[in-house]
Amino acid sequence: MRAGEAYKCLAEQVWQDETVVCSLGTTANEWWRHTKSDDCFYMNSSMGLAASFGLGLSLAAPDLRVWVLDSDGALCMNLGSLLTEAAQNPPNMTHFLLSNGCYQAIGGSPLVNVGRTDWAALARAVGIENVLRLSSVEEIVASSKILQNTAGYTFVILEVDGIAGEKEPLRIPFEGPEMKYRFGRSLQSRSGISVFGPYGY
Amino acid sequence: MNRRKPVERTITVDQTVSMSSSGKAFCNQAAAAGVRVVASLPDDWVLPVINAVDGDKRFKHVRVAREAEAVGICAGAFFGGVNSLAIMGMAGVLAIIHELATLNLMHDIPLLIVTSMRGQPDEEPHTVYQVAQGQVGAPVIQALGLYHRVIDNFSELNLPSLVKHSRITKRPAIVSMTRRMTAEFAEVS
Repeated sequence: MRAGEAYKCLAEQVWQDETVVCSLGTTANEWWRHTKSDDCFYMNSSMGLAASFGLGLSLAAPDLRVWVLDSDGALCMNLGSLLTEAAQNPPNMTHFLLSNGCYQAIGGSPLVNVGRTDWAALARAVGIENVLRLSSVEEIVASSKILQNTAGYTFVILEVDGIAGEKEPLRIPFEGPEMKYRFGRSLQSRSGISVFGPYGY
Repeated sequence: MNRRKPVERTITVDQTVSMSSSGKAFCNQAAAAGVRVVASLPDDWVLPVINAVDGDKRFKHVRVAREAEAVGICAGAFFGGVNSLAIMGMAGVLAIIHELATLNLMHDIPLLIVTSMRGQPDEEPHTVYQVAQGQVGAPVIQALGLYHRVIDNFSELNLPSLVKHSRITKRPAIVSMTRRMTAEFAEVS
């Protein structure tokens, strides 16, 4: 399974109304390619912080269902966030980890300790109870109900092939403050959350 | 052979200690500012502040493993429609420069950080490590263009105003408490 196939399947066959927070690089580019969604914060910076952002959103807005689309390279930069998630056990959050063993967006340079890290074992070791490991489109579809956050906080490893020199990524045509206001306005209109006050800040 | 009785140890903070009047007042100010989520990683100075927050059910308190997590959690909470607060030592502020620059400043996301103002001449203990933090902390915050206020006693603290200022300016604000200030939180009323 390739990263693009995994995200295409999630976007077209599993995703309902979950609010999405994307890690940078391949994850953000592929989710944008398949959804063009405003209801997503594409974190094209602060590598590793998408999971923490998603946790804060989940805790502040417990009626939202939150998907964090993360990658193994990013999680390496914020490994402690798994402990924090385990401690909080946010029932409305699903944390996907795209595991390709490399930094695909920069040409496939291998990840530290590649081939030895067992993400599922690591998640279980910090106390996360619901851990899934999916390595095909068929397995993703078969797990739809769980991925749609019916089982509480779940950590999902999407095992994909690391591809060097994949086709030119589709860049997201907005950033910075526009990202903030697109995402915030989308949350306000769709979920009734008051992100911005009466004066817009 | 005489054997010493093992000393009972605890690795958790005693949550039953009475909260200082400053701790209660801090929490009341935070609640009045609309703060509902607090993310923290302690140093010994801000620990009493964190304990006060932890014992107050008005807040969802998240203990983090690394200060950068607090930056992400508070940004997420902002989009969840609530105000939030990050509490950490000055060493933590120095550790989150990249995240402040590429998440908060890049996207105009507010954040209020409460931290310790280390490295002053009259503090005890007066150690080389704390002096090093104090020497670089304030200039680094200034270089980022963030609002920074050092407060020495509780009467100078106004969390609702600081939260509002951070939202209006759409960037982080940092309030640093001196040793004299943080000591007030440890005094149980």
